Amino acid sequence: MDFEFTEEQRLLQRTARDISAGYDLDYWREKDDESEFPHEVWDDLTDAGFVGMKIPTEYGGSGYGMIELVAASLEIARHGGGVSGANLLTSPVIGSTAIIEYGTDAQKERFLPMIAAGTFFAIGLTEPDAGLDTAGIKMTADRDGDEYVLNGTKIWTTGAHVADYIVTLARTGTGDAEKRHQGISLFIVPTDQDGLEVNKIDKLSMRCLSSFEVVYDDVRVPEENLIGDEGKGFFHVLGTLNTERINWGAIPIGAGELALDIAVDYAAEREAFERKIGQNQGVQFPLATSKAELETATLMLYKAAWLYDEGADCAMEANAAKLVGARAGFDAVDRAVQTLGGMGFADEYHVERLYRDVRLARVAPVSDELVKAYIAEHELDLPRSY
Amino acid sequence: MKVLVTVKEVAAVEDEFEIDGTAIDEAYLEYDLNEWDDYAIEEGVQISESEDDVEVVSVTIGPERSEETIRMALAKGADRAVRVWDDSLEDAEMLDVEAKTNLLAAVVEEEEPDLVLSGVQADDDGFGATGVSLADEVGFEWAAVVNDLELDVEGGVASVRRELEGGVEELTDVDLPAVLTIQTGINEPRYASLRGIRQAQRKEIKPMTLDDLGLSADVAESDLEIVDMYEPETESDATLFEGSPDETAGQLAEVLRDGGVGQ
Repeated sequence: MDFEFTEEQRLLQRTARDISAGYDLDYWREKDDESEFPHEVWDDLTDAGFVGMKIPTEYGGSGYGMIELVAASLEIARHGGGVSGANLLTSPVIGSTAIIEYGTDAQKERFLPMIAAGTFFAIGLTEPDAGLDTAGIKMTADRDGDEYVLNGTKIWTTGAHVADYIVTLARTGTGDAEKRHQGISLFIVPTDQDGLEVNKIDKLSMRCLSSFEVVYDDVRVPEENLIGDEGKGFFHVLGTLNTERINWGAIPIGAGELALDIAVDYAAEREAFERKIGQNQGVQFPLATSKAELETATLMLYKAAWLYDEGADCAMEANAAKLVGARAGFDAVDRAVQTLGGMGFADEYHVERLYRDVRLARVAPVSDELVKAYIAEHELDLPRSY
Repeated sequence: MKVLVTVKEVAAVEDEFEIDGTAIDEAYLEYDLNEWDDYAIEEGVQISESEDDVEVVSVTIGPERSEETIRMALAKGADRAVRVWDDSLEDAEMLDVEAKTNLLAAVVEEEEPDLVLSGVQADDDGFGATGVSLADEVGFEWAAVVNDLELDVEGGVASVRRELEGGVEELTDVDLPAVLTIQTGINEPRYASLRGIRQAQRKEIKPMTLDDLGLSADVAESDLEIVDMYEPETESDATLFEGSPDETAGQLAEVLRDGGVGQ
């Protein structure tokens, strides 16, 4: 077993770190305050090849795997980007993975270079009545000649306002209760189509990456924008979601490391009762516990990423990496807030933002509870509970 | 045309560190590309992008560990690299300006570049002299602290703007071959791209020993000796002016005059 990164991977990490460190914490605070997309960071990540990092080189990408993506996300998050910075890599990896795995050659040639060049592809899976239960979606896509006509509503479509396309899941079949996972198809919907309306959702966290309700009212999509087989979209999406879960394991870990760095600096400087608060075991131990938990979660993360890159089944590991990463990250930020005391609540110390942001990792892209339900059923062979 | 860019892997310390005798404990050191050299690489790569038939060669003096740093120069666009090291250099307490000059001069003799770009100074030891000393050794023209460069390849002239003390700048022409020491701000160094990082894996880093360069181990001998290493005490001195604006302006002027700032 070899835990060493290659020189190439270390250079990649160093570059991600350099880009992230080029934007200080006040940059992210201002973006959060203004709910403004971090275009500058996005452009840097695009130019350096991180946005297209999992896209094959023949389609303009960097041709790396999930190990490198995770390594980059951890660096971006820890060195200033936090949750929002590292999450910039999520949409491109989901969108591109679906096209790489199920797209036609023409679709690959058309869409993959676009993603690598920084065109934003938002992801439209969740609906008001179908959150984690993706097979419960109600959006319809009816064939009309050589087009599909989409009707319905998506929510939590992050980045819809800056996206040129939304990767959208819609029902093309009957949605028979017995076969609810079938009859669903995956489309790439251009956002300049008539009938598309986006409404911003005010939210707790990750405010610079705004999320939207997107209403599709007779939105026409050419048939060449159907990805994979009609009726098999749910299964096409399942595989791509492992990439999302793995990155969402990295995001809270990196954000937790960032919060820990802030807390350690504060503890080393702050004096109370005529001594540095960092001298107190009551301050040290929670931070040390978090360091151990973050490192442990990182091991799970790399195992999941490695399995994915090997083409092996990684569903359990991707879910576990997300679960323990979210927990370790959340606890680290929580302990950082506790270390900073009252200052932990002040915007200018940044941990309050990380606290709001990292909380999301326990809910999305899949909740703690559903991960446990999955592991209980599929790993422990306990009865299905939902 | 060949551009040789000298780069150095510099040691940086965290906020908290311990000094062990006349050195900083290795556990507290992190290594990175010298900031000034990053600008020199960018300048070299920009020349290769704007002119035909330009080869950018990067050279460093350092142990195997420094390959990662020089690989970063390759990832940013240098064509190939030379790494000078030798077992006999391992034991040297430090490589002073003269030692580096002799090592780099041997590389210049081998490579015969038209232009040598070097950072103004290194982040760690901060001698700020290697580039100029190298020019003197190899008999090249030179300009130090260059913050703007226009190259006339046909005419063999580098038109440079260089920083002097007190905010004064000098415009001058330097005949090639020349050594220019590059100041930060001359350009905006690019980030390496993932494509560049991948391509860099296939680019050559040629190891060169003292033997290869026709030098002997005494090249590392130095008249300099590190006798002490300590953290300087930090202190601050604040003067509060009190009174009307006229009075405080007068007091401030006095301080500035006394400090040699105003006439």
